[in-house]
Amino acid sequence: MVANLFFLILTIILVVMVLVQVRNQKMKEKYAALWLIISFIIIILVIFPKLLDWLADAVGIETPVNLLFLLAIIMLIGVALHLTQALSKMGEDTRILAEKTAINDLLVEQLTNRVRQLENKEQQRP
Amino acid sequence: MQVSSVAHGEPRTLIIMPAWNEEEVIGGTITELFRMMPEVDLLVVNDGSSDNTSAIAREAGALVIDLPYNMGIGGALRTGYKYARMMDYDRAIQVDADGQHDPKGIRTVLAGLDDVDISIGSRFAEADNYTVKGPRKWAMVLLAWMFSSISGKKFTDATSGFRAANRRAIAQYCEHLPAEYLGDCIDACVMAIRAGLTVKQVPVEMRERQAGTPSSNPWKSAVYLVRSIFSFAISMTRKKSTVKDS
Repeated sequence: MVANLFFLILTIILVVMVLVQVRNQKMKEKYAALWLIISFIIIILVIFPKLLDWLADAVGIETPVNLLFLLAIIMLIGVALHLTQALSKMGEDTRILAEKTAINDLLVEQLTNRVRQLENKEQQRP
Repeated sequence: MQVSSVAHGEPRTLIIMPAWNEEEVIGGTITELFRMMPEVDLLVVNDGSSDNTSAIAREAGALVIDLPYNMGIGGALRTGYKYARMMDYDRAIQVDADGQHDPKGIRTVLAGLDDVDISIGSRFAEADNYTVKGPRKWAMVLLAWMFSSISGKKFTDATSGFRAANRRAIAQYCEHLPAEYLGDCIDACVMAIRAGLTVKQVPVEMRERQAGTPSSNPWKSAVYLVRSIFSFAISMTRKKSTVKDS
């Protein structure tokens, strides 16, 4: 029972941390949703430990805690994959921006030179 | 805006020269190029060099785009092609900054565009005074064979960076040019072929690099072999893209 209470507190801390991050606009809602769903599942399992035993029995795993570990590992792999994908997309996005600003730099330079030339011509005319 | 070779009915051509820390050689390469083709529009894409590449290229009379950080050859090339598309060029050709590509070959490679969309100037086709050995050679032979089989044209070296593109190919490159090394030559080309563009190889002579060390140690070459096969295999599984005809 003490262990259960411990896990419950840990999960509540997780939920609060996620909510604070969202409130301070440090985390996008879609990532917050991911963590909140995970917290929700943990809370359910803490409150109804029998559920885990039943699930383990249903899929044929003898020690219920192994099912818990398995689920945790699968979930973490999923999160890591998702983050890698998000990071790759961000890398591509910054690339596109960098290309665009670099091209724009050259265009601005060319336009500036042209304006300067035109101004000089104007000044030479009396 | 510097616009040359307009309205003579002749196609407007942009030379794209990606450069990363090439201060020792780029001045010479540009000077030689302008001596041979004074009218041409040359764009140097400085790929986040930490040396004087950008200033030297400007001084030599090239247009220079400075990328804010090093993005790899693919990023530099895509930037060049995007500029070509934006400025409405008819043709673009990529030339190495290290002087490996003889300016005499530029017309030959461009002439290849008369009947195809992408023309690749390669070393092993007839004119040859350049030798490669070991895993790097195997990679070249294997890739050449793979390219020949999907394009229906004969290839002896598909990895050459001396290649020209017409409007269709420029549009294709703007959308699909991966940043990774090798992505630029293999992946991009496979995707172009699968999008229905035509490619052929044109024989040109290659010179030794004027400075710097060519990557020819066996370990690197082996990695190169594996990566190029991977790159090819991945792009074969990708969904075919379509080019908008402009």
